[in-house]
Amino acid sequence: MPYANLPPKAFWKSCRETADFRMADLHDPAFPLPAGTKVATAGSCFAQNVRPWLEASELQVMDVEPAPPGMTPDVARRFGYGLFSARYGNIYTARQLRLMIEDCMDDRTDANAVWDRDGRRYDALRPGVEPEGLASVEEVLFHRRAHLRQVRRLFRRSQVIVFTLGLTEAWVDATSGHAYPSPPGIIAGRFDPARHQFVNFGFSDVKADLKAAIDLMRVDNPDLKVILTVSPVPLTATASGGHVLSATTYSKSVLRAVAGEIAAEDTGVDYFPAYEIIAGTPFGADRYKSNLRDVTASAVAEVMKVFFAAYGLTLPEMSGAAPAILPGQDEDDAIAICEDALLDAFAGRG
Amino acid sequence: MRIGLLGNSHAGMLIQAVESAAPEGLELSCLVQTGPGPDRLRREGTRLVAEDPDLIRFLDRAGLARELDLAACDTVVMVGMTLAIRFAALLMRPHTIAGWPSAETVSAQLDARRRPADLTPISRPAALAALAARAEDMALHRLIALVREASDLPILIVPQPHPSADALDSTGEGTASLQHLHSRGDGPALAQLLDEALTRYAGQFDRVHLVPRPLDTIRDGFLTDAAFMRGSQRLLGDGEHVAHDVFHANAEYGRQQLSLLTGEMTKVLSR
Repeated sequence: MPYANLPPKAFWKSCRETADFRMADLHDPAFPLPAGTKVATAGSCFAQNVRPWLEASELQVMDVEPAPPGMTPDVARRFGYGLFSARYGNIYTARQLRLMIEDCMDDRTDANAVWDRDGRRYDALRPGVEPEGLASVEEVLFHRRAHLRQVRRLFRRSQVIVFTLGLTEAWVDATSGHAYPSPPGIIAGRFDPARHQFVNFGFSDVKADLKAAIDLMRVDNPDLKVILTVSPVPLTATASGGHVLSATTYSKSVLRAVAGEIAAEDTGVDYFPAYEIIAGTPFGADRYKSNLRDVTASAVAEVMKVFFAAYGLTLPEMSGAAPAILPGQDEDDAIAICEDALLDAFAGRG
Repeated sequence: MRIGLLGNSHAGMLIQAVESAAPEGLELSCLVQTGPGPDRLRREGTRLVAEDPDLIRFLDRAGLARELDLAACDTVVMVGMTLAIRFAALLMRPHTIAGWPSAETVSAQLDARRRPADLTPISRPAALAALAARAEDMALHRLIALVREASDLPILIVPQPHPSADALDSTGEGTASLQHLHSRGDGPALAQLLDEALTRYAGQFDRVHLVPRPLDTIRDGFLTDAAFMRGSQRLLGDGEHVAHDVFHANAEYGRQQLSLLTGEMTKVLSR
């Protein structure tokens, strides 16, 4: 009989009867993650919370663009150091990831992807990593070119990349195809309605972009494995014309479905259910801070507890504190560096 | 004119210069300590009082008072205790900044090969932010705050002398990064970066002024001519620094620095 021989984890009731909803049974890894594995991290700002845990673990977390010696952690974070395995800033969409890797492979930079603000120049494809901008377009391109070389080296040397899918919504340049992590005009640049178009990627778009990105990464590194997660952080705002709750549900649903399908099709890809551990129905709103958007430190800790247990790794001691919290910082102030959070400033203006 | 002098071992050159050739009417009241400087002081009204047992022992050995009364001073001079070229060199060792000589090399490497360049670009704002954060964690920063609690006297910052040009041939601690920056041709650019950081740092306070280093002493754009370093005396006056010391300046450097200091003081006090 169908269902008759299924384990308790297959039944809502059985899970509900345990205090932690049978978290130990939540993830069955697609591949092992032995101690010492070289792991790279990338993705939306939620992924910033994961990185310190990985760094404290037996895994070898890659960083091809580390902060300069002696730079304090808060300055480093402000300038995009140590947030991910390279200074690419937040990669919210699969399209962003794909285009960045294409740029790496083709050694391609584009002066059209340089924004201006108050006479300073910004890399439109990672505007958050230089909060004061650079002096010239040439300097931006110099930095970007050197950055892309490091990113390619990162994907060549890593054994596993943990990529956190964040959004389906993006602003793209109709001329160049660039997908920006932040709409023009927010951090820098000027919004041009004729050129800058809103896109809400669907399942097929996201899947095609993500598959292409993975395929490109494997050009240099055929054995590269990928762990996909979906950020449980709701959208700050939607430009879709709909309600932000519906937009969030759509976005996360698409990303979750794509991640699941790619993991099902590719033995070198695993989906780790961080999204479910935080946003899942059994946990209500307890795993979010009072704004119901930022994730609590204890929720991140729960995600990592399940992650390390699933892969047979030792849970590092993190003193119960949120890893993204700096010394002397309150948890409520300790939010990841997120460009999309800047959209909050527009709330109530309409 | 009475100067309240706060400083670390680099204050030695200035003290010796005053002792050997003090301008008429210039008097020093010193609260100094080797290492990071006289960091742990207690304020009692306008008096800064040593409370760290090590500092008290040091002052007693040197025959110096255990306190400095700011009310009796016309100005405060702080020597060293803040950013120095050594830290800047350590920071910049893996990096280049657009416009620096090494950035040309990096560009050429990116053109010529597919792998990353030997150095990673860092933005000037990021480097300056790193230096600023470092400065705010050093003894000078805490001493400025302490002095400002008690007094609005002008404060003049005398920067630590650049290391000796002998550092280029030294195997001593802290010299490898200097040699590396020199080999890249980045020494002068590094010194400019440091000076910009110090100028910005001093500029954030009211009535705090940065005294320039004596230009004639500078070699290779970021070091000090060895003639101004050899034979430097220890802060306590109990002999010279070790022969291979490349970080402390001698009394001749002190005399040149004193000349610049008094000139700056005259300007500041006449405002």
